Amino acid sequence: MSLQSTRKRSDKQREERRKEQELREKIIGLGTKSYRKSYYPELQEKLADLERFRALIDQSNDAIFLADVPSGHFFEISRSTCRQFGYSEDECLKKTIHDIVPDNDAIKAILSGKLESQFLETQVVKKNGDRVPYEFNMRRVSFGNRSYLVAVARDITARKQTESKLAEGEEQFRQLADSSPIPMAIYDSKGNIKYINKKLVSTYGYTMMDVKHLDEWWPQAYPDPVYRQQMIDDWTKRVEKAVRESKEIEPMDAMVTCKDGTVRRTEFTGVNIGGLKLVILQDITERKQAEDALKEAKMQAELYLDLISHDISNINQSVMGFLELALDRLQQNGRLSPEDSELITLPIENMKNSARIISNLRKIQKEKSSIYKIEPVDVNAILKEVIIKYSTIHDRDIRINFRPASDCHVYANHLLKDVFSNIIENSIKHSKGPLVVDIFTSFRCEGKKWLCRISIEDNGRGIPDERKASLFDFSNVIRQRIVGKGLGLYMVKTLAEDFHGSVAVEDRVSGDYTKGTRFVVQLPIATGQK
Amino acid sequence: MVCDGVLYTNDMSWLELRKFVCPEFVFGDGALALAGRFASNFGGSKVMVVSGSNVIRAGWTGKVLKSLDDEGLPYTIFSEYTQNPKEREVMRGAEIYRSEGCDVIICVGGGSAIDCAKGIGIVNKNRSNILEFVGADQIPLPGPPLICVPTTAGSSADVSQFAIITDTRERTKTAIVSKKLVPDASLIDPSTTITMSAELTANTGIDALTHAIEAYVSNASSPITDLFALNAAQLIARHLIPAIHEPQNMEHRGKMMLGSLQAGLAFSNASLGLVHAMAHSLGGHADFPHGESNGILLPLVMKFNYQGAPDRYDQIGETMGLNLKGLDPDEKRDAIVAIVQKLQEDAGVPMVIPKGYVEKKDVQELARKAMADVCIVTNPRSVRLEDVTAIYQEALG
Repeated sequence: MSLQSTRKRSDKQREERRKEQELREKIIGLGTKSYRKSYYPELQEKLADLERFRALIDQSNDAIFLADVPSGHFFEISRSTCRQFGYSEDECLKKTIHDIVPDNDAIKAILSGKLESQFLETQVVKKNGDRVPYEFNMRRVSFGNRSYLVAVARDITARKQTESKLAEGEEQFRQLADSSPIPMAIYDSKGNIKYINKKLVSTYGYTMMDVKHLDEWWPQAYPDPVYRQQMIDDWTKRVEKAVRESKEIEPMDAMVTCKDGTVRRTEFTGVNIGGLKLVILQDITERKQAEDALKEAKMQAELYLDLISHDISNINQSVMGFLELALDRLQQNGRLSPEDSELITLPIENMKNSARIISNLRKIQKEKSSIYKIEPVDVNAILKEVIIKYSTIHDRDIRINFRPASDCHVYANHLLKDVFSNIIENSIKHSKGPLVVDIFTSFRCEGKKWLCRISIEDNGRGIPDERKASLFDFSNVIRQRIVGKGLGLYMVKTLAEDFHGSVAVEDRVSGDYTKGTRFVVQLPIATGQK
Repeated sequence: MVCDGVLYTNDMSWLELRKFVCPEFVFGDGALALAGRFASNFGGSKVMVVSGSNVIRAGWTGKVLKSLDDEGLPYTIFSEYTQNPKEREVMRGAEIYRSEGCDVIICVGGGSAIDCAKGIGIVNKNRSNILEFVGADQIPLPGPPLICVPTTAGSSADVSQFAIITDTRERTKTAIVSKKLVPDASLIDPSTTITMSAELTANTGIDALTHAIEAYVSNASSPITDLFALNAAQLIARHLIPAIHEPQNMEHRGKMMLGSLQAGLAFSNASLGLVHAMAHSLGGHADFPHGESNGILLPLVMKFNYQGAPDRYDQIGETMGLNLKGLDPDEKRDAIVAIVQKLQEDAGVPMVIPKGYVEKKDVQELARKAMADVCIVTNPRSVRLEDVTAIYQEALG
């Protein structure tokens, strides 16, 4: 036998002896747990439990007490009971529950054994005579051979006040909602319709009796099953999205069949408020009709514009061509006196004006249709082109001075040239004799926004103040058309605003409009541009 | 050496640490009538009375119930247990105790009734199966107040820290040993033993003698337990046979009850030995009466143990009336064994295990279980499996 196995056997024997000795000590009463039967440790533990429990009850804000059955005398009371009812402990223990809650049938029924338990709201009479609303949770219990009433009483003054305010608030809401000119309804997460306001009843005819649940609403509002399912799916998706994203329910258009069978085009919107859905129904039947009429009118206007800009423009070109041909031939043959030549040159000039008006109309239409892309444009370069064009007009002495600021780019498109052309053209048209036009470009900051300021001023006859106010209005266009003028300044304003800028007119010399006019165009500079 | 009349082999061994625990007990005529007062003083509001049908028929339980009535204490009676109480019987009793809302137990009966009552108490308080407490010091919380009224002069369960419960699955009697099992009060009224049959008187008497002898030779004996053990052996040797022959004689009945009490106080504190370890195994296997098991095994074990504590066995012999002077050790041993066997013979207790209870093939298993019994720890001689096997073989005749 090896040394190792001998040692192992020896260890095992030693361990067995140790265990046997331990067992022996336990048997003869010398083990650590070999003490005589005693209830004291358990009693101490129970007392500690009782103390903890007592502390727990005493810390409660509720009045907790035990009353003797059937007398109703207080038997055990928590500290809060004394505090709440206003008595000292000794005083309280001399009272019965009838002193605190006089003449209560439910309490009498429990004390007489007719009832096992009861929950009730009642008035408590405190020591100082105050009557306070309390709720009582009471039960009859037995300990040993004795029966007691165990009660937990809670002061519900605050809750009652809150309930009262809530009821008041609810009534106010109902009055408010019922006087609303907009139809609205509320339903809960289970689809129960909780409220329908008067406007909804008067508009659609349905009352709470007709539609108590969404399941009753859908088939009446949408009799066609296919359309109904489509509406249910659509609405459900919108509601789910609104709940998921904590947003309003996105508007949904639907053709709602009223109780009398008429169909109303309705826009549904709403909000989710703590599980309740407030739904607003906008009767948009008339609005939609008006929108449709407007759309129709717009389509017609575009048709006329196309007609003018293409067909009439072609006719004008043809007429002008023939008139210019006639003028050349008659002048070459010497058969046309200077007086008679006006009979041809004037129609030619009118035809040119007509062509320009049509051209401007097309430009406005295209600009409004966002056909042209907004991009950085070099203001100085465009101004130079315009200046060259108008400095060399036949039979007019026109001097245009230009003082540009350093490199200036704004967000616009090629129609910016029409802005400046129309302003300068306006100066030329409304002046006689020599004309001086000064153009300046500069920068200015409005808030956090940098603007390019283009000032174009002339020494013409000026514009009276009463005309300045409506100078750029479309009404002015209509008025001028009567006397055969174009769309020029209306187009200036339209374009400037489309470029997120502005145009204004003022006297060149402040307070004296007769000294000439200054047009100021302001456009946002293109960021990142030099 | 002899220490104030008690023998010690080692001069200073009597100074070793020893503890002595016993319940409050009242001994004498009419003690059982105090049961109601005791229950009331323990704060009881409803009593479980554990008592078997024989004792109820004998009228002793009725007297206890009257005392409860006198105190105005309601009670419920539990009788659903058998000899060598089984674990399921204890669990059933605990269930009734709980459902009836009892808070005190009074046991009127012999060892089986008292062991069952002890089990009901601890199961109830600790909410565990009774077999979880098997072994020494395995009870976390003490049971409810337990008042015993013993009606046999033998088991002494009313003063002991033992409860013997039969594990039916393992077919063995298991010992639960804990100071927490010592009853709160024992009301020992010798008159309750007059209704015992001769057979029961003999069996319980031999059980008490075994307690006295095993406690005296135990390696955990003490000067205090020695006093009780020797006195008990003397009382039993003198009064057992007369008590069997004169069952109404209160002197013999009283002395036997006193002997049983003293033997109980001795073994509860000094513990037992190989006889009880083997008897538990045997009783669990064959549901064999405990007293008979002890009677059969006692002389065989004494013969085996003698060399482990010869002086102590000699003292027992002399206490029982032998004069051992001039005899060599073997003669002494034989004389002592013979006097015990004579007592058994006179009492009519079987000397071998009757046929039909144990087969030879069972012996090994019986021995294995006996080796695992807690009582073997305090046996005066070291025991091996083969020793136990040999004794069982001899007991089979």
